[in-house]
Amino acid sequence: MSKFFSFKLYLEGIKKSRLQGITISAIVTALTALIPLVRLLSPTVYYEQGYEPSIEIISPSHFALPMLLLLFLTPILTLSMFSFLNKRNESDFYHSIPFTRPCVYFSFLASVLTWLTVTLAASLALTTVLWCFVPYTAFSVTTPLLLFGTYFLATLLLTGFTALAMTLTGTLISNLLIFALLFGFVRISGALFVVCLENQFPLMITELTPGRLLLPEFNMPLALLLVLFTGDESSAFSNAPLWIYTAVISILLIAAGCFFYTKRRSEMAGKSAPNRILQHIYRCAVALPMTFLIVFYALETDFDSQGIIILTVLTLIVYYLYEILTTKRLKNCLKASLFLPVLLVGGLLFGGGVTIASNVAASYAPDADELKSVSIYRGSSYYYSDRSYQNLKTQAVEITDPKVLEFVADKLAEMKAIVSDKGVDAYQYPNRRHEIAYYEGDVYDEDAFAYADPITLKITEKSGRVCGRTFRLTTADYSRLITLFIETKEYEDAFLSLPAKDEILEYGLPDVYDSDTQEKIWDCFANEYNALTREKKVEYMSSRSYGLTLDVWGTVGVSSFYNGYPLDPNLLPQTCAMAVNAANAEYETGFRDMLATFNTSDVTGVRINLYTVYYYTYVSGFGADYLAALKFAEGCQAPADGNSVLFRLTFEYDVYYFSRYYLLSEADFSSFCIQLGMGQPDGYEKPLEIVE
Amino acid sequence: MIHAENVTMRFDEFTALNKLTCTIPDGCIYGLIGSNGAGKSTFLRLISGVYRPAEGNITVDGAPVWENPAAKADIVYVPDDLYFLPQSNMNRMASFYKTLYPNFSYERFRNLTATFKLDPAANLNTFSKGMRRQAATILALSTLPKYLFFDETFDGLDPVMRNLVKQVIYSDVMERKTTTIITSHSLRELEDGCDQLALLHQGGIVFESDVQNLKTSLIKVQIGFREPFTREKFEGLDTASYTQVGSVASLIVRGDREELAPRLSAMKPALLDFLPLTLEEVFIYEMEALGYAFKDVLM
Repeated sequence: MSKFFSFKLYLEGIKKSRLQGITISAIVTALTALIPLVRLLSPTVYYEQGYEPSIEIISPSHFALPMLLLLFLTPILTLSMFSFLNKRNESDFYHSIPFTRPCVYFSFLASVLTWLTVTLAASLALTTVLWCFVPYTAFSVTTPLLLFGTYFLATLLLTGFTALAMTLTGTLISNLLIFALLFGFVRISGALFVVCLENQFPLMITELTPGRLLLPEFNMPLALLLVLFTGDESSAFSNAPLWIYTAVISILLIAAGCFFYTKRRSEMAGKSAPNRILQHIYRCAVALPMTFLIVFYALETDFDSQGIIILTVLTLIVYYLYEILTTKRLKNCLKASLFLPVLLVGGLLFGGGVTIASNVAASYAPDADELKSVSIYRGSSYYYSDRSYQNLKTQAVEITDPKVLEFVADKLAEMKAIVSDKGVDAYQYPNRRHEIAYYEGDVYDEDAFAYADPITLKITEKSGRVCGRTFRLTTADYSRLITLFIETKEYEDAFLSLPAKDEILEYGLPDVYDSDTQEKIWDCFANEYNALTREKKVEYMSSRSYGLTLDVWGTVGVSSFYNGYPLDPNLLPQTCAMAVNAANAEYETGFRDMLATFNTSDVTGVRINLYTVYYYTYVSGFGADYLAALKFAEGCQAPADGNSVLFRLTFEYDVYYFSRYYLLSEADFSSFCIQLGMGQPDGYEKPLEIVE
Repeated sequence: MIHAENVTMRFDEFTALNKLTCTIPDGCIYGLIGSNGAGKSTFLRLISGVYRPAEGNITVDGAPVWENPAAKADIVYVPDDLYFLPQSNMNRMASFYKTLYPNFSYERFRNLTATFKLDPAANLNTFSKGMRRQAATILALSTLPKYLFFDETFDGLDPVMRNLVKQVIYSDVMERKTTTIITSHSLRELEDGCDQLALLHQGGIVFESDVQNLKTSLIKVQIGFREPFTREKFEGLDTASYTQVGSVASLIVRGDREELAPRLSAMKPALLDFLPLTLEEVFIYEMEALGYAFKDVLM
C-alpha cells in the first residue's frame, strides 16, 4: 500500500464527488459550447446579408467567459471533497481508515483534479469541434491546447488554495474566509501597493519589476479574469513566467496542504482555527488589506478625514465580524481588541513602503554605460485590436546601439530633474499649461503640440536589473528615437518584415472570396514588397490605411496579430491589378446588368460608396445621374504607372449590392469624382517622416 | 493485544486522558465505563489512530497505530456519531468498506443484513437511529476485523435489538476471537457480556477487573441473631460494607463463599442468607473501598 496514493481511494473519491463533478462538467461544457452553437445556428444575426464579413480569429477569449465559471466552481468541488474535515464524525472516520493521511489527501485531491480535467477536456473538445463549423472563423490548433494548459494551471492553483484553507480551518465560513485570504491577501495588498505606487510615480511600469509577482496579473485565475477587461491574452495564455510561477506555487500549496493535513487533529473539525494564536493571525490578516485601503485612500485624497473615518469603521466591522462569525462568541471580541495595534503597525509599514519605493523610482537615472539594452514596451495595456505583426516583432528586439542607450540615459536624467524640481505631473502632462491657456484664454501656443504620444521603454541594465519608464518626448525627440531604432538592423528587419506564410491563418480582401486567389494575391504582394527599396519599405510600413487593404490574420507563437496592408497601386502595381481583376470578376455580370438598368429606367435611391486606400466618401441619387461617370471610369482603366489611384465603388439600391474596382490615373480619378458629384478628393495621409 | 502506556491526551487546556495505562488481551471483550467526559471516546479514537497521544505510547500487536495502515487494517471503530456516505444505502457502504478494508466479506454482510432484516438497497437516510446503528455494526463486523471498537453502541437500540446486536457481537468474538472494546456510561449495558471491565474517571482508569472475579469476589450476606450484636462480631472477615437494622445485619464480604459459609454458620445465626450481587453493587463497594463515591464517578 503506497504511503502517498491509493488508486482504490482515488476511485472512491471520484464516486464520492460524482454528483458535483458531473454537474460542473455539464454546466461548463454546455455554456462553453453555447457560444459557437448560437453562432452556428443563427449566422444571420452576426453577418448582415449581402456583406462579406471579415474573418474572425477564434482566440482564447472566445472560450473565456463560460470557462471562467469553472474557476468559481473549482473551490466548490474541492470544498465538497474535503467537507469531511468540517464535521467531527466524518473527520474521525477518514482519520481512522487504514490509509496514511498523505494517502487520503493526495488520492482525494487527484479525484478533484480528475473531474476538473474531464470538465476542461470535454468542454474544449466539444467547443473546438463546433467552432470548426462556424463560418468566417479561423483558429490555431494550439488555441485549445493553450486553453487547457492555462485553465488546468488556474484550477490547480485554486484547488491548492482551497485544500490548504481547509486543512487550516474547520468550519465552512472559516474555510471560505481563509481561502479568500490566502488567495487574495497577497494580491489585494500587492495591487493596493502598486496602484498607490503608480499614483505616486505614474511613470514607472511596475509590470517590469520583480514586484510583479505580487500583482493580480501574476495570479493565473485573476489574469484570466483580467483578459476579459484588457483583451490582452498574452498576459495569461503566452506568459511563460506566469505558467511556471503558477505551477510552482500550486505544488507548494498542495505540499503545504498535505503537511497541515497530516498535522491536523481530527477534533479541529467544527472549529475555526486550531488555536487562539492562529485565530488572531487569521483575523488580523483578514482586516489588514482594509487597513492598507485606509492608507491608500489617505494618500490619494490628501488625508480626507471623512473617508478615513468611514473606512476605519468598516475595518473594525470586518475585524470583529470575523471573530463573531468564526467563533460565534461575542465575548471573544474583548480578547481580539488586544491585537488591534497589529493593524496600525501594518498600515504604517504599508504607507512607509509606498513612499520609499516611489522616491527610489523617481530618482532612477543610470548612466548610459550602465545600460545594456532598450526595447519598446507595449505591456498589458496594449489593445489587442492594435496588435500588428510589426509590433509583435519589434517589441522583442533589444536595442544595444550606444546612441540609443545614451539618448535614453539623457532622457532618464531629464525625467529625474523635472520630477525633482516640478513634480511628476509637470513631466507627465507637459502640454497641460498650454491646454489650460488655450481653453481659458483662447491663447494658441505652438509648444502645446510639440509633444508626441507617450512612449514606454523597457530598460535593461548590465547588472540585469530591468525597469520600465513612460517618456514624454517632444515630437522631434520621438522621431529621432524611432529613427535610431530603425538604424538597428534587427529592429529594422522586424519593422519591415512580413509574416511568413506558416504564421498566417487567414487572408482577406474585399469582394475576393476564393482562398486560393487570395493566397496568390498575397504571394504577389510579398514579391512586390520584398523588391522595394529600404526607403520605400519604411514609407510603406509607416503609412496608415483606412480602407482597401489586403488583410491577414495569424499568430506569432501564442500571440495573435492582424495586419491590413494598403493596396497602394504605385508601390504594388501588380498586386493591385490582380486584386482589381479578381474582385471585378465576382460581380462582372451583375455590374453590366446594373449599368443597363441605369440606362433604361428611372432608378432612384442609388448610393455609391467610394473607397481608396486612405479615403472614403459616398453620393446618392438617381442611377442615370451616375451612368456617364461610370462609363468614363470604365474607359479609363489602365495599369498603374506610379501615379495611379486604386478605388472601389459599392452600389446599393433596392435589394441590390455590387462592387467594382478601378485603377485610374490621378487626373482621371479627380475628373471621375467631379463627374460623380463627389468633388475633389482629399489628399493622402503623409507617412511618418524619417529624420536623418 | 492492545497496550497503552502512560497515555496523555490534551485538548487545549483540558486533559482528556492522564497517564492512562492498560493492557487489553487478545480475544477479550473489554468494557469501558465512565461518565460523560471521562475519556472513553478519546481512548477509542487514540487506539483507532484518529488521535495521536500527546504523551505515552499505544501499540496494537506491538506496533504503533498512528499512521500505520497495516495496524489500522485490523481495526474497525464504530463511533457514537456514525458516518455514512451522503445519500448512500448499505450496498454502497459495503462497496466503500470493501475499498477501505481488504478483508471485507460480502457473504458475512449478506448474512448479517438478513439477520437484522435490513433492506440493503434502502437509503440510509430513511433508517431510524437504531437501524443506522445496526447498519454500522453490520458493516464493521463484515470487515472481519481483529479489533473492534464500539462507542456507546447500544444507545438508541430497543431492548430486543440490543440483545440481538449483543448476541451477534459476542458470537463474532467467540468464533473469530475478535478483541472488542465497548464503551458505555451504563454498567448494566456491559455486565452481561464483558470479560473485563474498566472504569474511567477524569482521564484515568480508576478500577479494572476481570468480570468473573468481580462477581465472585464479593458476597452479600444477610445474617441475624436472637441476642444483641455489633460489627465487632464479624472481626476477622474482610468486610467491604456493613449495615445493621435491628437484629439483622447486611454484610458485603470479600472472599470465597465455600470458605465463608461454615465460618458464619458456626456463629449459630437465627438467619443466614447469601444474596446475589449485581455488578453495579460490586462496583459501588469496590469503588468505595478505593475511596471514590460511585455516584460521583458514574452519574
